[in-house]
Amino acid sequence: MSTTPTDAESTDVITHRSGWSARDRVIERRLLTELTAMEPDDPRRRALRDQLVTMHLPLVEYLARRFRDRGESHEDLVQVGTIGLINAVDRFDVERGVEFSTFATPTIVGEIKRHFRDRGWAIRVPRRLQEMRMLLNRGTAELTQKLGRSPTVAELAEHLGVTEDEILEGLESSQAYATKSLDGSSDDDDGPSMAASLGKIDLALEGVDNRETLRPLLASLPEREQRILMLRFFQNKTQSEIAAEIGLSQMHVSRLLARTLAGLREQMLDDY
Amino acid sequence: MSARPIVLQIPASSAYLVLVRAATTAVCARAGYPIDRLDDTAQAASEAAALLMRDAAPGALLTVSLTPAKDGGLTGVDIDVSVRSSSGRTPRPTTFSWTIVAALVDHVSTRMNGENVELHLRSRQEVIAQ
Repeated sequence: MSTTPTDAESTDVITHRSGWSARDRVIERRLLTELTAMEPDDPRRRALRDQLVTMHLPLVEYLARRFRDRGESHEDLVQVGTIGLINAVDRFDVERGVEFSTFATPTIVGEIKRHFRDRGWAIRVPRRLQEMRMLLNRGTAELTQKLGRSPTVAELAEHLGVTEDEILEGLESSQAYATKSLDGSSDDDDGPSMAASLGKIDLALEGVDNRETLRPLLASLPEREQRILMLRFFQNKTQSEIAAEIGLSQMHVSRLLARTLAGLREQMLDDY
Repeated sequence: MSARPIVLQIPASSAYLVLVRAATTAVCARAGYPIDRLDDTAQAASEAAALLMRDAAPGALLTVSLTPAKDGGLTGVDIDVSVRSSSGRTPRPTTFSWTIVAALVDHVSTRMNGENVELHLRSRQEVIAQ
């Protein structure tokens, strides 16, 4: 069902380098060869990496533009796309004989899509609701800052100059889409962080039934989801506090929590 | 003082949890909850419904009553979830789901009422002056 932003990625590769000279290509090749040959802790690595990232920023810009009009700012998409680019630079191996841009494109697009999925927009959301959600995000952040606590629906409505019903509609759509995006296939590559948190998980689950079922389920969650779950349920932090601590919006934390719990629920059918 | 409850009746299938969530959100909004508490309470209601769905007798409908409450300087909602049980027993308070629900509201209790298993959730919040 997941009609994530279109992928006609194969043609992208040529386009972004149309302005490149033969010399640029030679430089790219040389930098990549050097980088591949370097030890992981070589101090020169960073400069090389930066240079390669800068060279390929137009590719990120280009790919980000393909996702325009989907309710996320171009700058945000370039930012998350750049994370994909950096990962691609780090993982590239010249000996495989593929063009770097061919290798990097799916990684960059993957990061951008993951961003949309995180925002719960893996499926097409009516534009009006996307705008309402952006408005809600902004309004919630502004008022939380101003009031020192999470705002009420009435306060948000007044602040944003919309009706309370519109706020509710925005909140509902946000959750509905977050839940649905669960069914979509996941190509998230920020994998679990097993060893680091098993101890914490064990501690948290003390006195809870089904520990043996739960432990691997929790351990297999992405690190961020694990952390949010622990902070909310075992350290009793509010969503707003978690949002501030992790650097996400409260609505984003809310969606991740709802999604994670729904996922766990499906796998814990004997938890009664 | 309690207002009249809003009552939902849904099939015992997770596809309907979104309705429980939406209704709880609306009731909490009317009670003047801040957004993050509102979201917690909606999550608790849908988690509680999901918990009882696991024990629902085949074909049984699940009932969720949301009763807005106001006492003193507190506002809130009482959430009662009920379904015909197939096991004839209440869920254990040591389950993961119970742990989640209990962390999100002020009080959770359960009992058998004839053939039905019931969960009662109480959520309260200080009134925020507008």
